[in-house]
Amino acid sequence: MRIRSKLLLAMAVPAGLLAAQIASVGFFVRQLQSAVTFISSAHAVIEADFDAVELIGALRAEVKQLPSNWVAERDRETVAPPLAASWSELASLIGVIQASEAAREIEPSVLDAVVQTFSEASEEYRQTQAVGANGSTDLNGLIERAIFTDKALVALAEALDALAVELREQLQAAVDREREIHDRPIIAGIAVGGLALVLLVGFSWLYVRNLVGPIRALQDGAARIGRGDLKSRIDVKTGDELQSLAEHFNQMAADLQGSYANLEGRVEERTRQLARSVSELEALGEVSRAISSTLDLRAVLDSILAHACQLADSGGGAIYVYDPVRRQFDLEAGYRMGEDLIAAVREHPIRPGDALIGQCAERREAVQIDDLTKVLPHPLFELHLKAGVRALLAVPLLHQDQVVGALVVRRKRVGAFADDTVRLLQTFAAQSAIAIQNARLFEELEQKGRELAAASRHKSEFLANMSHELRTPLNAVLGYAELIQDGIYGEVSAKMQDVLERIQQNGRHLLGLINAVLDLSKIEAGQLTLQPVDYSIRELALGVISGTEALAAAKNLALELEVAADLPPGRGDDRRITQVLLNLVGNAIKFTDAGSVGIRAHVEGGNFVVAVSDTGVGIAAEDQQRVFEEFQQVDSSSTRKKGGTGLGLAIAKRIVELHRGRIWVESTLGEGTTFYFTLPLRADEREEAA
Amino acid sequence: MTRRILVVEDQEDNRRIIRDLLASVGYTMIEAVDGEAGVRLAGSERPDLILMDIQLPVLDGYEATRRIKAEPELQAIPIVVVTSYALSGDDQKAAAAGADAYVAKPFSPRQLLATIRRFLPEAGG
Repeated sequence: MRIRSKLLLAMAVPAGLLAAQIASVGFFVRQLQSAVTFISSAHAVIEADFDAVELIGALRAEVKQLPSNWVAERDRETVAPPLAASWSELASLIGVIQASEAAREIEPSVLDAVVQTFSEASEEYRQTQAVGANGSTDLNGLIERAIFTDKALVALAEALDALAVELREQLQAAVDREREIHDRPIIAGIAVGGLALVLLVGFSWLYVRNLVGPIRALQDGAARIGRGDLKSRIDVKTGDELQSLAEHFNQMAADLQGSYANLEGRVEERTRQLARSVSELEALGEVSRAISSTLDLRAVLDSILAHACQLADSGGGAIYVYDPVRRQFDLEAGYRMGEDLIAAVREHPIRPGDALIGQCAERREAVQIDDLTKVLPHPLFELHLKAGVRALLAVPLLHQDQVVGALVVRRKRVGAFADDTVRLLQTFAAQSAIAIQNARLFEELEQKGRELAAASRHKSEFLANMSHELRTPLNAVLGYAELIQDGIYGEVSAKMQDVLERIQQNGRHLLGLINAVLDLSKIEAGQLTLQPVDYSIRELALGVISGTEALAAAKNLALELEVAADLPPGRGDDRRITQVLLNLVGNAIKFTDAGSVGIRAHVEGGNFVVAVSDTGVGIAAEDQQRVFEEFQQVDSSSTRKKGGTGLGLAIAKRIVELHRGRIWVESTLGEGTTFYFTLPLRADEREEAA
Repeated sequence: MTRRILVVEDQEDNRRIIRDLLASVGYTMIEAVDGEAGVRLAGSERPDLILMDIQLPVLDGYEATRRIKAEPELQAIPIVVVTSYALSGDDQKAAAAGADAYVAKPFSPRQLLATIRRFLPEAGG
């Protein structure tokens, strides 16, 4: 029977009095119903929240597997985009949470945090997916991606946890609100109505049993649940809306109870997983940092091995490098390895197919022994057994499908290594293979560098020797020519004088070339060392001016000097600096037909800045760098016309650089050229410091 | 009496050039083809000047110069060293060994003669 008909039956006479009460009960019921609506919506959100957090756990596990999947699938052309399936599910769960009734009641910042962290995680996911879609990316890049994605997922999980806490508070608040409604004097009013109807004592029993009792039971029950007593249930068997309300209440309490009971366990489990996958990713990250920051193979392998042993919960392990020439595995890194074991593997090297390492290499896959007491005896196994080892796992180190070594870990308890552990060790094995490959490449490179340096040295020594051998006969040619010119062997006609002068000129030019080549090869062979003395840049410039005066005068050029007398003394190789100045001034005179040639020098920031300028033909912009290269006079025909070796500026540049200075040129075609060079005031100290 | 110059030089052509040059101006030339012979002849012949090449067999020019300058009776004999070339740094080493002057290769006979005359001004035929 419905409440309304019950009431009509029980209170036919004071219907008016009761009408108000009916209305208030109706209001009460509506309030409770709205609370229940909220509670069940909140429950749905909590469920979605939990599902999302669980999915995040699965996603994180997947993310953690990315590096080892890469190792497993790197030879394939394409790799399936990671995470896609779980991700879309996660997105729809977050959608459920955002769209729910309950979400409107929730503190906006909590919900915002969920939305924000979810969009950040989505971005990380997108990037990780992009890396995966590229197929053959590098392992360390992928590890970095995995770490970032995992962090984003952890942040999302934390936001969802906060949301669950918030929802729980909101639920509490909803329950409290109901209790408040109950505490209003509705019941008292109904009771007064009851008293007023004392005449209807017979019906009042029905009234109390059917209405007040259930409502009180509802009120008490709601209050108990509100206080957190989720085991409490409301017993109302009225067959009307009150019963259905009570049943909703009971369902809600049961759901909450289940959710809360799960919550603790889940949080604990999640924390454990979290800590484990975080430490795995951290270890992978640390190892990839080690690989990229040091070329010390031993250090990298030690780091990989230590992490591998810790994460595999293993008492010790080793990394072996395979020597294809001797066909054996050499111990490269050991973690908690007994002396006798080290001695044993040194004395009887492991070969392909031999022991567990040899087997994993031959099969190119992880091989394990879960109980050492139950396998065929082997000298190494005997040593392991003596040391208390009961289980072994060996993983091959592969590079381009070639075995470059093996990683082995030991455990003191019987039992197989979990798939997770095997996969993790495969990732470490791949990193070890990369490290070994890097070290080999580096060694090869160094060897090539040494060979190149030796070849270059031989070339320079050859040139130096050759120059000397060339000079000796040339000296004789020039000497005889001069004696003939001087009439020592008899009278010389004017025509012969002219030819002899030609012989002298060509001979001297050849000698200049030979000397320049000798200088250059000495510098390149590192045989030319500066002989530093204290010098006055002004004295050096004056010396050069007086040496070139005749040349300048012959072309009617003015020679100018602008070097202050009070410049500080410098320290450097005065002869070599003179050589540079002579070369520059000589060139300037050579390439200037009218006007002047000048030397200027001043001090700037601890350096002499010396400028040799002329008003000559100038050098085109595109040729200005080339002039410092060997045999690169701007116009090769000018070498013959103007004389010079084509090596002077190359030598000047090297001499300036030996002094830790710099040389450059500024020029405008048809207007003139200025060569600048700098010299540290104290070139020798800088050199020693370097 | 004609001045006597000891030329320590292993290259035949160089010796001939110097010989022809010195003969043309009236010097007498004593010849040695290695550093050891140079030291020996310096002691036995007491020349007025020694022209010393650097790269010599048996004993190089520096060492020969050092040994001659270590003999009190020979100390006063001027030694002109012929260095390999101007910027080689040989001149400093020659000065350190005790040489009185140096001429860089390729020596021009005129230049060589001018250097000799600095030490033997009144000489020449």
